[in-house]
Amino acid sequence: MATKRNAVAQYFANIYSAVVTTFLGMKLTARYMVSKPVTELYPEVKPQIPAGSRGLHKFIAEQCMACQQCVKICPVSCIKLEYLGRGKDSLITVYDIDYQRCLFCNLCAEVCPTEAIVLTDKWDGCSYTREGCRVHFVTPRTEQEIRAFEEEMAAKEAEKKRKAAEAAAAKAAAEAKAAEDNAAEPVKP
Amino acid sequence: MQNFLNSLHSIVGQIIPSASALPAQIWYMIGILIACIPIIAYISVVAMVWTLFERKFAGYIQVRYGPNRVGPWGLLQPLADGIKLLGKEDVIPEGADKRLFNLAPLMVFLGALLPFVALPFSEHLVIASMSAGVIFILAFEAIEVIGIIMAGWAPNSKWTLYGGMRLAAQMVAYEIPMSLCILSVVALTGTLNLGEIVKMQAGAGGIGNWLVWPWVSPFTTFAFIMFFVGGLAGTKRAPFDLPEAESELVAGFHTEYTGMRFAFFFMAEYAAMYVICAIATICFLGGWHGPFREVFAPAAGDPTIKQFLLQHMQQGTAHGGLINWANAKSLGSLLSSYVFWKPALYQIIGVAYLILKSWFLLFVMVWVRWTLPRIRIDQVLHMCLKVLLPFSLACVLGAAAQMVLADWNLVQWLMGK
Repeated sequence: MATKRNAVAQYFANIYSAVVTTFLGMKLTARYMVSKPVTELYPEVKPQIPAGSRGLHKFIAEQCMACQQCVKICPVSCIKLEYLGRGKDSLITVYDIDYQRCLFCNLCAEVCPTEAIVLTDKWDGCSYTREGCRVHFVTPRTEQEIRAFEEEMAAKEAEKKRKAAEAAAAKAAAEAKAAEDNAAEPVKP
Repeated sequence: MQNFLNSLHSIVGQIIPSASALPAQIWYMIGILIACIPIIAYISVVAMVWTLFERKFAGYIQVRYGPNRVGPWGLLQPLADGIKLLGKEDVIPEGADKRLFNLAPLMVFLGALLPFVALPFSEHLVIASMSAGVIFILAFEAIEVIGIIMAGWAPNSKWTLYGGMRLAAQMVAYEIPMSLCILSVVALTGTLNLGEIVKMQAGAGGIGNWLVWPWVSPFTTFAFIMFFVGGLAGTKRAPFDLPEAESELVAGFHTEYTGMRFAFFFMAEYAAMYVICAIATICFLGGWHGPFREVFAPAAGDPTIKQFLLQHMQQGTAHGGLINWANAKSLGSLLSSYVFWKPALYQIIGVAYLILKSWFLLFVMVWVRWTLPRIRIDQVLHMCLKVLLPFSLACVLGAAAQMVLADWNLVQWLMGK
């Protein structure tokens, strides 16, 4: 409980406390005035990004096996994936992420079985247009690349068929030989 | 001023002999123009530089940098601010009183600019050395009040009206303690002339005889503190800036002013702050006196600058006048003589001390602004009428008693007794 003062004593106490607190405050601000500012002078000094921060994506097309898991799990459907072929040999033709929708939730990276898509700590991307916010991670394939890929695929198919045919022929030959061996042996009396 | 005009007349008369036949009124006008240009330049420099310094010191107090993008240390920021303010659209609210709206910034700026006529910068550097200089300067606060009431009323907005009325009450109320504090100084020095007040604070190594020290007079020490507080309130600086409270009234009485009109209010605020600090420096902090200045004091037999220049110009070749003055060799001998530099340095060092002290007080004003929270309007007036007024009256009584019973310097009197 504050002591009960008469009005005159309270008046002088008020004046005293006003003066004293002013000087205390000025001492404090003087100390702040000479201390080093905490501002980071961006853009000369880049901020320190903690490890594990989720920033813009990095896509490694060679590792991607076009399993579509990232496309399916994205909560805002911002990933677009198009490919030729199947499985690990597929050629990724389109891999776009629309950063107007992306939440940086990391689900696409968590679910990717080959770690083809990861979120890096790069944070300063910007664009003047909406089109610029849809980032194409795969450069558009030229006609020659696509044709080369298709020929390679066709060649692989042909190779597989040939091998399958050879294997079938070898198997048939082996069966025939076995049958012959069986048939060649005379039945003993 | 009269000395300056005479000197100007004789020196120019030597160079262009026909010019000395012009009537005295023309010389007077020319002299006034030449004297006013540096003053106006100085006011602009003070206003510009202190808008920057305020933001920089505010930043450093808040542990951040102030503006530092525009030039090194942000030195071109005032220029950028000026260009920005010039480019803003000039809006007059609907239903506003156009004549008052246009007139208000000019009245406020007038009240802030005219005191510079009486403000001395050194013994000889004053536009008009008035015998009632102190009263002249304090009277211009009243013209500022009229401008502010007009600015609050004209935009036809109740918020600006609140701000204007509060501010008028605050400024008028604080004129009384401020004048009483100056009265304590006048009681001790016996003169209202600003130059004389400084002259009486000379001596004791340039520092020891200032009126702010308690050993000279404890009453003027208190008067200085109360004058400074009253000055903060009269120039609507924090912690008394409720009328222009940025978080309560948008911008108080100057809410509706944009562009160059706002720039007028802004510059008027800094000019008024400077005037208060300059009066405080002159009356309490010894004006242009300081250590190591007396080395250059004019001795008895030294010629004045005017005499020296005239003497110098009359020597030399048969072609007098212009050619003699523009002769590089004679100019070289002029500039290299100590007798020429001594009085010039005396004045320059005096001006430098005055500017240093006033700018230090301006820095303290900025420091206090970013330290203290805002005071409510009834607390502001309580402080003026119930605290500052009685104490400043007590200081006047004490100073008058000291002048009658003791002498100028209390400690010297006590020791001599």
